[in-house]
Amino acid sequence: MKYWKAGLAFLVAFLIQPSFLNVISIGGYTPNLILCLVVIFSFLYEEELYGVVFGAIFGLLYDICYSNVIGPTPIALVIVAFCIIFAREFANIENIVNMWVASALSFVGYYVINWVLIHIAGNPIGLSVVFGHIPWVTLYSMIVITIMYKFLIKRVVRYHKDRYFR
Amino acid sequence: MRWIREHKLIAALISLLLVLVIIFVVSMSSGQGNNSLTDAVNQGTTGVSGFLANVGNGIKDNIAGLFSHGKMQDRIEELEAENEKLKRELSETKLEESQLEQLKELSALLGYDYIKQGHKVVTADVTLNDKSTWTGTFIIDRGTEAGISVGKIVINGSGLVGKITAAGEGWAKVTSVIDSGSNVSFKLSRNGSQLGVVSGNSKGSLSGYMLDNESTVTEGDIILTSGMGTFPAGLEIGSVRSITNNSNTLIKEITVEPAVDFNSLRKVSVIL
Repeated sequence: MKYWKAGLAFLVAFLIQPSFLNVISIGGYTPNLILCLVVIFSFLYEEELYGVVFGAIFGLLYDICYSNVIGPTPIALVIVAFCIIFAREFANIENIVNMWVASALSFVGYYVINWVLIHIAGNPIGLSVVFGHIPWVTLYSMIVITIMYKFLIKRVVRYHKDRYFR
Repeated sequence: MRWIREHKLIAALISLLLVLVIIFVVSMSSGQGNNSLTDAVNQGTTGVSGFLANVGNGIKDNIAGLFSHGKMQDRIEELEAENEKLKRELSETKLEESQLEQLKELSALLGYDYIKQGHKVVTADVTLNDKSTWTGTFIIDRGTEAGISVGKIVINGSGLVGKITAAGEGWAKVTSVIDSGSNVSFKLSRNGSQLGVVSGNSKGSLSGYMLDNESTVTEGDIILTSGMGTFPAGLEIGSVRSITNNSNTLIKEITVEPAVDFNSLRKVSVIL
């Protein structure tokens, strides 16, 4: 995938996250598209660092627009991308179960890091509130991640004339 | 230096994180208020995302309309009845208005300064509202050009929504009362001497306590802003959902169902 395509995907996610995505909100929850993209790009494309670069850029933009303090979102996104890039060395990326495990852990990690940072910044929100929020957003986001994964994954396909498989 | 050359990726990532941490610390110490960067980014995104939000809301309304024809018919009949009632009330109010004018003239003659001019109100659409996070902030499509500035109070037909925490040309950021950082002083509508404080618990409701542990608060009581602090008096906050007596602190703790439905918030009014 080319860099501009990945950037465009993040830009679209950033624009529709607080607007158009509310059409498909269930119980007041919507998937976290930017985090979905960071997870899937970091898991599938190691060399290009899409997740780290665009996670930092769009995380910053997100905080500028919606948060009372700038920093928690890009820091949490970069840490998550960083962890996935290192963890993928030990995982088979063609197995969707590994993708699900990585996604679930990433979502919990992201929200906990975000909570710690906004707590440092003075927001009194309790961790129990965050943990009440995580399962629904994670579940919803994992459906989105699964759909993205099906489109983006490039599996090694057996070809009958290929000597590699003989 | 040698380590950096050998571990370029790790070094780059650590540098990036360091830059972000510095931005975070600076932002924390200075506070994210109105600056040119915030203004430029918000102006850019509000235009595009606002259009997308309108498209999305249109689709949602049309889909909902397809499945709720029967309910809509009932609702129309209900609104027609309400309309008739309001027309009757309006004609009665016109009579009272003439009496009010006479009272104003009288108060002016006596130098009595109680009756004041009403506040100007600006109506705005909610353009951006991210439901994947627990924060209670959203963006509206009117800003400084309409006279909106930081600290102004936001309401809708049901009651208190929140207050403006940042504003620029064509946009303003609203921090709702259900945001965990907000604190609102209240009084009971049936007994204005019973006071308390509620704050957002980010579960879509409010929780707080009564200042007097002998309070007679009951489930279903309507609570209004008391006028102490930043919010003017008399705005409906919500109704008391549950009451618990904390045996440790001897305080009556309450949870409150907000009067405003934040999940389907589309239009708000800003009191200038």
